[in-house]
Amino acid sequence: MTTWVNKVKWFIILVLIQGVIISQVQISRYAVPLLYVVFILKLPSDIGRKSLLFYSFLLGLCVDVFCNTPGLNATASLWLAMARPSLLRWQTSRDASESFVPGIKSMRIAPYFRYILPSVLLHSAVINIVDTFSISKLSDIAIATLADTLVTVALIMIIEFVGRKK
Amino acid sequence: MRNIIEFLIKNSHWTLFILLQLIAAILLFRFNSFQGSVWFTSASEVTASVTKVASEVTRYFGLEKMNRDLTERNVQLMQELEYYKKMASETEQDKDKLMVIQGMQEIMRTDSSVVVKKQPPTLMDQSFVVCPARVVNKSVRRLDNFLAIDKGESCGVRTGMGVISGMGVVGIVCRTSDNYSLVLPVINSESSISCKIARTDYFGFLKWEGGDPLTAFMTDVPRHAEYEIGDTVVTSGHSTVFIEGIPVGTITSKDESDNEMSFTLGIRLFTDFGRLNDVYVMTLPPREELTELEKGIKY
Repeated sequence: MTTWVNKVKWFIILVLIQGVIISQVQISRYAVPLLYVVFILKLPSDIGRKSLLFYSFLLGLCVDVFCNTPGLNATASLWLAMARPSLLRWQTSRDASESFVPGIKSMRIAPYFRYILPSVLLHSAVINIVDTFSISKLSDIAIATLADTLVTVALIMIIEFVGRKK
Repeated sequence: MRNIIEFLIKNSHWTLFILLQLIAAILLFRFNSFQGSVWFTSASEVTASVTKVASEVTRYFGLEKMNRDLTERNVQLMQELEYYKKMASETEQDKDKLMVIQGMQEIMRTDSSVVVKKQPPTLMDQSFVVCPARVVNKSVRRLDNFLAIDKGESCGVRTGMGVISGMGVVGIVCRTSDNYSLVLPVINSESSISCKIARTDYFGFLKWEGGDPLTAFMTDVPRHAEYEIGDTVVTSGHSTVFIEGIPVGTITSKDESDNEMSFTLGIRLFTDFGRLNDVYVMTLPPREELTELEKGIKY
């Protein structure tokens, strides 16, 4: 029950941070931190694929409503949710069959980094491709994707470090 | 049939994925261009109320700068007031002198060899000096137009100085001789003057691309800039050429530019180059001096 409340609390906080602060205070056109993906990445490892898809879709949709981009973040979150189980399995030892919350503590720093980097890369790639929706601007898409990924991964790692010290 | 159902149950997450993806795609392709959606507008109203609260909080962060600007403006107005007070008292004293001058002017009018020079309106800001000049030659119809004015190095005019008129900004001095200078006016395709929207302070560059000498463009305006048709555009004061706030023109239209980061605004210039006669050359102190001065002031 408490984990449920906790989850809802984080859901709302992340949507508000993304929708109110990050998308309103635009630092530059490139490099928009997509912090809310941390919610998808930190769902427990044994979560069902369908509920993972559903939560991700809902989260993306809520962010979309704030950013006035219906369907954009939802699509990207869906793709991330689809890829997450394989990405997570790829970075954890095979015998770790019990449930855990992905993080530095449970996975150690290098595997965790190798888990979030491709995840965020996929997510921001989908966002930028769907957003631009044009093949002629491939270099723009690539630059934006890399910048978004860099900022987001840095933010997630910082939060992880700060959270660990508590 | 049973095989299909079994397949669907076994890979139910794929089915869900495709279903949700379809919903997302419908949202993407319908609502992004379709403004009539009730659900998303009402939802946007919810979000708007949230973002309004956020903006009301962030509004306060600008107060310090606003205060400083107001103080500066106050000092400036006080100086102006002092000046006018002094002028008023001087006028009182000089009233009888004036009578004499008027009498002299009567004599001068009959004698055409003596010309009474009209004094230019003194601009109040003490940080720059103006020097009146007369346009002696100009072109308006070409792509690269030029102005020639009758003040040169002997009067202290140097390249890079700003030229203004009573109507607004004119151009920048680009070549000087002893007694004449050539001005690169706004209506030259090479001209680029930093300007801003007076009301909202967004910057851009004033450009001209030929054609009508009254229509110019303000390029590189950031995409999020707030403006309204009819807003006044003034110089930005970012260079050593012009002080801030010299009128440039009014916004008449918005042009889409190829660049995704900015747009271009159509500007109707205040300065009518077709009937431009009297201009002023502005001399601003060098910037190093200014920064030295600014160091001495503690806010």
